[in-house]
Amino acid sequence: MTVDDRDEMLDARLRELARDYHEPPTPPREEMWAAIAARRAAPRVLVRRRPWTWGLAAAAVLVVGIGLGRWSARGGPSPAVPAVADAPAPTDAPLRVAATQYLTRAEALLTGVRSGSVPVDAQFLASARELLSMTRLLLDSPLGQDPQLHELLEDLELVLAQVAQLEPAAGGTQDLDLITDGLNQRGVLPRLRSAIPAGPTALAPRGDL
Amino acid sequence: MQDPTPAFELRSAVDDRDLIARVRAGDGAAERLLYDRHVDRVFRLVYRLAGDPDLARDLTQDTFVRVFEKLGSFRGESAFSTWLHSVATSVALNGLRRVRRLRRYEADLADGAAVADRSREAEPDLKLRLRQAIDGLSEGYRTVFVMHELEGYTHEEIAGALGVEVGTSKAQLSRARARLREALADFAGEWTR
Repeated sequence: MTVDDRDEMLDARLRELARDYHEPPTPPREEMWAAIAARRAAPRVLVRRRPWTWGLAAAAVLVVGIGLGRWSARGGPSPAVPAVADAPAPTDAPLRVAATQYLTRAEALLTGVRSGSVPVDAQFLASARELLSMTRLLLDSPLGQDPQLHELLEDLELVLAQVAQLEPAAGGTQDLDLITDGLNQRGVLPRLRSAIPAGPTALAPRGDL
Repeated sequence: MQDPTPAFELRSAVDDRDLIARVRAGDGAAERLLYDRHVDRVFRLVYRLAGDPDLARDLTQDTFVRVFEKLGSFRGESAFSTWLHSVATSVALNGLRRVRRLRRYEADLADGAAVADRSREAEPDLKLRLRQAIDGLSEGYRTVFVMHELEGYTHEEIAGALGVEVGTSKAQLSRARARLREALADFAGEWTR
């Protein structure tokens, strides 16, 4: 028996043993549906999270942001990235800097998508996936509690999830058209541009977006 | 769980498109049908990740609320299921991170008191060790292991849902299995029978 055969056999046994790991019960369909219907009928309330979670989100976004910066330096689309503000920084300043960088890069990528000027290759798709990850981190950060930014991030998540699934070999022309339609209908790019500060500053404090 | 056949996938995609069009036109019954078509698979996945009935229910609800809110702007016609699972994994993983942080915070407040799950004490050592080993996997490894090995998602589906490359999904599964084999090495005679 080869090592591969042995591992294959062990993996099958592992799968069998793991089958009852968090074994799901019957889904409470009706109960969940009632709750979904009630929540959709109620006005939306955004819950502010505890401050101690901010640092974790900021660190995570910064780590991904640095990765994106490196990708950009290697030859990806590299628009001017706003510098950190000289003004006194709020406690979540690092997160705002990372968010500004993220929005700038998302705007560059989606502008390329809409104009059809960017080739859908592995580097492009990797960039879209990284932006998608950052979108999710930002949604879970305190900045994501701002209603306007939250809505923009949700739209961006939807668009980037579709962009990240484009097939490079197929050219994805039809999918690109659909994505572009979605961008236009939701006015994503104008909203994205207005969320990016015009000057060399980080994302404005909550309420000034 | 078996992978769906291509014929099923095709029929499913066509039905989804039809339902989405009806939902966009304001048909509430179509919304419920769309929910009924997908809720079991979403709930199963979220439950496998969360391991808690209340949390799984909340996260499943969050997923569908978010999907219905954004359905009007959804344009990836043939990939509704992929998009839905992308939202589901995002909601579930973010939710679990929040819960973990909260539990860590509460554990710190309790002066580092261990949070023990007493119901596990009576289980056989091997399964207990395996469960602990799966819990101890990194988020990426655990998610891919659960999706592929326990819920039957293909690597393509996992890649679409998690926003990673197919190769990444395969590599993470391979590493997850290796970690679990290592974790069970003490039980080699028992678990390889």
